[in-house]
This record gives sequence, structure tokens and C-alpha cells, in this order.
Amino acid sequence: MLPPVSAPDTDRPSSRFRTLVALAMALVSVLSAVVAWRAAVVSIRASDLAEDGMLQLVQREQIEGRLRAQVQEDLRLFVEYQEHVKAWRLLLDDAEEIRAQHPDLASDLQAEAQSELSQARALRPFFRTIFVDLGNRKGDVEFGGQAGLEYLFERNADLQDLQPDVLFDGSEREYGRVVNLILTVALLLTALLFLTLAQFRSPSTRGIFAWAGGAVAVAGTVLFVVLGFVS
Amino acid sequence: VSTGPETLELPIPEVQDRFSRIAATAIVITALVGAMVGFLQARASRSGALANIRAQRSMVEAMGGVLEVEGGAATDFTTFAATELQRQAAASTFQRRLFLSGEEGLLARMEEERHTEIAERLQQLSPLTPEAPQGPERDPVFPFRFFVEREHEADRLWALADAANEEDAAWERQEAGFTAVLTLLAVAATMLGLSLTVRERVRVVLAAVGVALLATGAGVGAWLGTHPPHPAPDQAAEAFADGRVALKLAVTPEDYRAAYDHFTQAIELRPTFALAFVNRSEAAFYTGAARTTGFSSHTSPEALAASIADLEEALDLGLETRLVFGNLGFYRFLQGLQSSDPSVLEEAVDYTAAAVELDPTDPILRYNHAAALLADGRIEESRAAYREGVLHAVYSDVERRVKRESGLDIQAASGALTDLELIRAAQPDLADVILELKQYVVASTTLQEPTAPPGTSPPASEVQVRPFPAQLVWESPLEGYDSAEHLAWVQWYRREPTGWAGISEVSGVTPIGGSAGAYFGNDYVIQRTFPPECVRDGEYRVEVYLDGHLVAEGEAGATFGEQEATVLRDLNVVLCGPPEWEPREVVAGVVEGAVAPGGDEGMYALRLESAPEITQGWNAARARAVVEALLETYADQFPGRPVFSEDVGDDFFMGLEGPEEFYFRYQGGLVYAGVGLAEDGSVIVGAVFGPDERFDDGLLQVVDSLNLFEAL
Repeated sequence: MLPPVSAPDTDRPSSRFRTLVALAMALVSVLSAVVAWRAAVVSIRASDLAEDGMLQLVQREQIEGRLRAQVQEDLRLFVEYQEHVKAWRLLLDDAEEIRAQHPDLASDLQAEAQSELSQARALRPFFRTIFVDLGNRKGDVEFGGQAGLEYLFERNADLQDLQPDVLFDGSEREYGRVVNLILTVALLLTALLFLTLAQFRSPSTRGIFAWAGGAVAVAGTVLFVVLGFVS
Repeated sequence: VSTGPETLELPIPEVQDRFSRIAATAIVITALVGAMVGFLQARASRSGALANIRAQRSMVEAMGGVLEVEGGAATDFTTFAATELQRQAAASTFQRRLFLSGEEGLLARMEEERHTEIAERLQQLSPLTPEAPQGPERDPVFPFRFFVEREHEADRLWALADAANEEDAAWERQEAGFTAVLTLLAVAATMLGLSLTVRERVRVVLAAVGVALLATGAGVGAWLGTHPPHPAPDQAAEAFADGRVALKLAVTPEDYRAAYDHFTQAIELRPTFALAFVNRSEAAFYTGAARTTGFSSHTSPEALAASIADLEEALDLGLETRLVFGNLGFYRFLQGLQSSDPSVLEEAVDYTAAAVELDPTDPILRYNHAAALLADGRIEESRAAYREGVLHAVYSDVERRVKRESGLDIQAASGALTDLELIRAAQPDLADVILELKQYVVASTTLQEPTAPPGTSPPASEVQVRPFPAQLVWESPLEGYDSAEHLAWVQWYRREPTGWAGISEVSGVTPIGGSAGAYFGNDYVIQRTFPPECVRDGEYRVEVYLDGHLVAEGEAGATFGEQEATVLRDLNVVLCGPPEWEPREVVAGVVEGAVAPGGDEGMYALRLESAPEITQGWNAARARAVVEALLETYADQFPGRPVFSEDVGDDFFMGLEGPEEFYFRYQGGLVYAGVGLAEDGSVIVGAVFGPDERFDDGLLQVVDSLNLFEAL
């Protein structure tokens, strides 16, 4: 029995079809490898950003802690300074009060007042953050700790340049991209499955699988172009 | 029918077998390569993990190390403060003893000795001494140097953490590379396997693709395996920390050059050290800057190009921070003005916008962005950006509820005026817009709300500029000025090669002295700069604004020659003298000065604690008696014994009350001595001495420069 005459005619398009499908499978496979690699790169960038963010966070805490400690040091010194300035003013007032009746005692008090003042003055170079003066007539001095801290924070270039939150946000964004890229890989693998089915199924259904595979592959490719290179 | 298949199978299995053998072999090779790559990936993963542990360890060590170093520094500092208090007490007792005799004098001497001995003992407990390079006698901004030097270890440890972090990232990248190779190999195996399932020529295509992927994967895997990341040498962190300390302490272009060299060394050891590039960029900028302290907007084109190159390198290395974008934007702005290249100004706009996006609350970044827009010809956008800048200058938070207390708004406004001056110099056709924007910035900062200058402008007035060695002075009738109605903003500039540069330290809202028809302002450069600076030779310009209206502007030149600021911290006195003069302490806290190496010229300041015996009934005769007594007591500190010569008068001396000035004479030279009472009641004497001819050539400048360091 001879084979049907039409048989070779149906096999020729089938061969071209299979060649095309095989090429599409190769392309999609390579593309999915590229997307997987891209996902790995983005994932690493996300991880780098998180690590840099952590380093910056620790560094920022350290600098802020140091600057706060500096102001606290000033506050401790300020207490002593305020004592001397207040004592100076009070002693001077006392001296004036008794000068008419007890001039010698008044001179002693004034000398003591000067001693207090000189102690206060000796402390002044040791203030690192705030500027202290002799206060008001009663010897009450203002401690500008909050303004001093604000000044230190704003003028510290290292601190200004540490933005861990920006890095953490960036990391979160990149991790989001990784998820989307993995979704793209899944799409491309689905396309690969359809193309494989197109390769092996009967002529009546392989066209549908081929088209489905092609469509999903195109969708995956578009998604990759959008996600893969846009940060 | 049964023989049909047999006749068909005869030639094919041979072909298929050969093809299958090749494909099967390729699959095995693929598996083998995959295994090797898997091994390399595991190695990369392990190395990355180790680097990650090193990074975290360095971070923790840095935290601990910093705490330890700073704790130690604070202890040394506090101990030194206690030592200085004892010294001050000894000095105070010494002064009191000068006016006592008999048993009281004896008691005072014993007290002085007690304080001195305690001070000596305490001094042994602290490495910080008055005459150490970090001590108050040698460091004009004491204790800045002391603490900056202690930051070296922290910088080193952070640099080590950064290097370990980078190495970890490099291993992760390599791991990702291996993952990609494994994926390629998996695809290759799939292709090769698939080729065994089909008969048509397509199998050759599939096999060819598989083999190509195998070859690519093997090649890339081999390249990655032979190019592992290398840990940066620790010396890079050491050089970086050296550079950081040098940069923070730098004052002269030579200092910045030294810092630059340290960073270059760090970069040579670790070419991917992005932070070193950023720091070197700053050092490079100041090697060519006309002004190397405070804020500078002017540098040489070469230095500018070097700074930009380093920042771009840092950016390429992935360091996308506000500092990198902000500086790159500002430097591109300067470069764009110098070159008149619109594309460079476009870049400046983009970079400054990126910096603003990273830190929307920084007014300096916003003003720089506004300036870049203006220079780029985008005037309306620039106006809007200046408005945003003003808002963020006045308020410190994004919601604009908390007003700034730190003075950053004034500093930022002064910087903004400098930028506008730079644009005016490069693009004179924008003069009207620039004046409008300057007045807008000044009015808004003065009145603490975004506003154009309110009301009508007071009439323009003449202004005289008078530079002194340590201060800048202006005088003007300021027609229409009413102290109850107007707030004044005084803006000083110094001419740099590319235009007028604002001097932010002495600019801002300021009280005005004088009375109707004769107003003036004294702005002490030496008190407000860090470290203290004297007025340098050059041209100075002042602008006086009333509620934001520019009402007076004038210029003048200064020619004082080279001078250097000396701070006598214990006495609260500053002066500008020849650079070769060296600090000298005669009696700590009582008599200190700065003297030429040969001792033939110099200056002494003396401070006497207030004593009723001296200050009550203060007049010229009392003042002269005090000065004579002190000069007599310390006559051995002068080239000859000073003898009273002339009463100069009682015009002005260091802003003290009851000022008196005298000339004394010794063989071959003169002593100028001024005296007055400080606010705290103490008596301050300043004595400048030297050969007669030097009084016509420099020493009177020193007299003019004498001032209180802090207005106490």
C-alpha cells in the first residue's frame, strides 16, 4: 500500500513550523536566562542598598550621639559656670549693700566676687557648642542647648550626607523590581511550555499553543524591557 | 507492512547515534561545567558572607572604638579644664597679692602656691597641656584640634567597614554572575536534550544553540572564577583617616594639598573608594580657592575641574548622595558661568534638583538650584525656586512649622547673594532680575517670611567703607533710617578673581550704631571667623538693606600686608600681627602676648581682676598709674625699660569703658599702651612695642587690631 500522496505536502510546512518554534524556544530560553540574571543583579543592588543603609544608620546614630553628648558635656559645665556667675553677682550685690557700714568687709566680698568671676571666665574656653555670656543683671545665664544642637546637626556635613532612609526606600523599591522580574521569568517559562507543547502536539492544536506561547513571550519581553532597565 | 519500519531505521540510527553521542557528551560537559560553576558560586557565597561579617564587625568595633576614644578624650578634656581652673585661681590670687602686704600677703602667697601645686598634679593626669599643639595657646579654635585628632580612629574604622561592605557587594555580584552562568547552562542542557527528541534539521539548530550557550557559560564562568574580588588593604583606611583629619584642620592651600595627597594615597590603594573621591574633591576645590576658611564659591578652573572629576568618579562608583549631587551641581554651576556653556548649566540644574530631591529641607541646596536655573535663563522657575529656598531657610521642617534658631537662614542667604553676584558678573544683562532677587532673599530672611521688600524704599545714601586690620567698618547718613521702624541687613563682599564673594560670617541682620545723619557698623572679622581671620588685602564692598530695600552700597581697598590672628584665650584678647610673631605666656592668665622671634617687637596684653583700689574713681591719672606700674613690673619683657612719654588721649580702645592711651619710650623704641575697663569690671591693658620706624610700618596696625575675643 502506497502512502498518501498528500503526506509530504503536510510535512514540509510542519518542518518549517517546528524550526521556527525551536528557534523561538531558544530565544525565549536565552531571554529568560537574561531576565533571571537581571533579577539577581537587581536583588544584589537591593541588598547593597540595605547594607549601606544599615551602615549609614549606625554611623548617623553614632554622630548624633556624639553631638548630643557634646551638648550634655556643655550642660554639665554650664551648671558649674552658672554657679560662679551667680555667686559673682550675688557677692557684688552683697558688697554694695554693706559697703557704707563695713567697707573692709565689702572689699573682701568684692575680692571673692572677682575670684568667682575669674573661675567662670576660666571655664568659658571649654564650652564646645554654646556661647555663654555673663547673663542678666541677676547673673542668670541662658543655656542655648537646643539651638546649639540644631546648629551642630545642620553644620555637620557628614551627618547631612547620611540618609539611611533614602537607601532603605531604594532597597525596598529594588526588591519590588526583583519580584516583578521573577514574575517575568515565570511568564517566559510559561511561554516556553506553550512552545514545547506546540513542538510536540498534533497539527490541529500546535498552532494554538504556538500563538499562545508567542503572545506570552512578547508580554514577558515587554514587561522585562519596562522593569528590567527602568529604576 | 512489518518490514517498512526496519528499512527506514537502517541508515538513521547511525546518524542519530553519532548526533546523539555528541549531544549526550555535550550534556555531560554542561553538567560538569555546571558543577564547577556551582563550586565557584559556593566559594563566592562563602567569601561574601565572610566579608559581610567583617563589615558588621567593623561597624560594631567602630561604635565601640568611637565611644572608647571619645570617652577618653572627654576625660582628658575635663581633667585639663580642672587644671586650668586651678591655674586661673593661682593667677587670680597672684593679682590680689599684688595689692596685699603683711600677713594677708603671706596668706595670699600660700594660697597661690596651693593652687599651683594642685594644677601641677592635675596636669600629670591629662595629656592635654596649654602649650601642646592641641592646647589653648597653640590652637586658636581650641579645643577643635584636640577632638578632631581623636576622630581619626573612628574615621579609620568606618573606612574599614565601608571596604568590607564593598567587598561583600563585589562577592555578591560575582555570585549573581555565577547564577546567570548556571541559568545559561541549564538552558543549554535543555536545548541539547530537546535536540535529542526531534528528528528534523531543527535538532541541529537546537544543538548549536545549546553548544553556544555552553561555550558562553563556560567562558564567562572561567573569567569570573579567575577574577575574584580582592579585599582592600587596611592602609587605605589609614590614609583616608589621615586625610580626613588633615581636611578638617586645613587652613591654607598647602594644608588642603596635604589632605589631597592623603586621599590620593587612599585611592591608589583602593581605586573604588568612593568616599575618598568625595573628600578629595573638597580638598581639590580649596587648593585653588581664594578663601580657604568658611564658605568659598571661588576657585581656579583647574581646581574646579579636578573637583568635578572626583565627584563624577564617586557618582560612577554608585555614591548617589546629597553631598555628591549638591556639590556637583554647584561646581557645574561655577564651571558653566566660567565657560558660558549652556549644557554645563543644564547639568547644574539637573544635579542640584537631584540634591534637593534627596534633602528638601536644606535651603543652601535650594538656593543653589535657584541660581542654576537663573544662570540657565529659566527666570520664572528660578523665582519659584528662590521662594522655596526662603521658606526652607526660615523653617527647619518640611511642614514649615518650626523656625530655625541656628542662623543657617542668614548663612544661606549670604551664600545666595554670592551666587547672584557671580551670575551678575557673568551675565550683566540679568542685573535687574538679580537686584530683585537679592532684595527678595534679604527681605524674606530679615522679616522671616517670604516677601518682597515691603513699603516704599528709603532714599539711597552714600556709604564709606573703612577696612581695619581686624574689622570692616562702614559709615553712612542712611537717610530715612528709623531704628524703631527698620531692620537692617549688612552684606559684606570681598572681590575674588571671578566676582564678589559674600562674607557670610560678618553679614546678616545687624544693629546699627550712631545717630541721625551719621550711622555706622563695625563688623569684627576676627571675632566671627573660624578659625579667627584678619582682614586680608583686597577690595571690599558693603551693601546696606533696610527691610530688604538696598539703600547704600560702597567699596574700598585694604592693604595691610600679611598678618595672622593671635588669640589670647585666658585674657579674652585677639590681635592681628606679623605671621612670625609667636605666642608668649609671661604669667598665665595675667600677662600673655605675641612676640617676634628676636624679641625686638611684639605685643603684651595684661588683665587685672577688678579691685576697688584700682577701678573706683577711674580716670586718666589712675589709668596712667596702672599702666606705669604694670610696665615697671614686667619691664624685663621689653627690649628696654619703658618710661612714660606721652598721653595720646581717650578716643577708643578695644571697645572698653574709660579708655586711655599712652606712649612710653625705651632706648631705640616705643611702647604704645592702651587701657580700659571690661564689662566684668576687670582692667585690660594692651601694650605694643618695637623700634620707632616699625610704628610707621605695621605696628600701628597691630594697635588697631586689638580687640576682645568674645564680647564679654
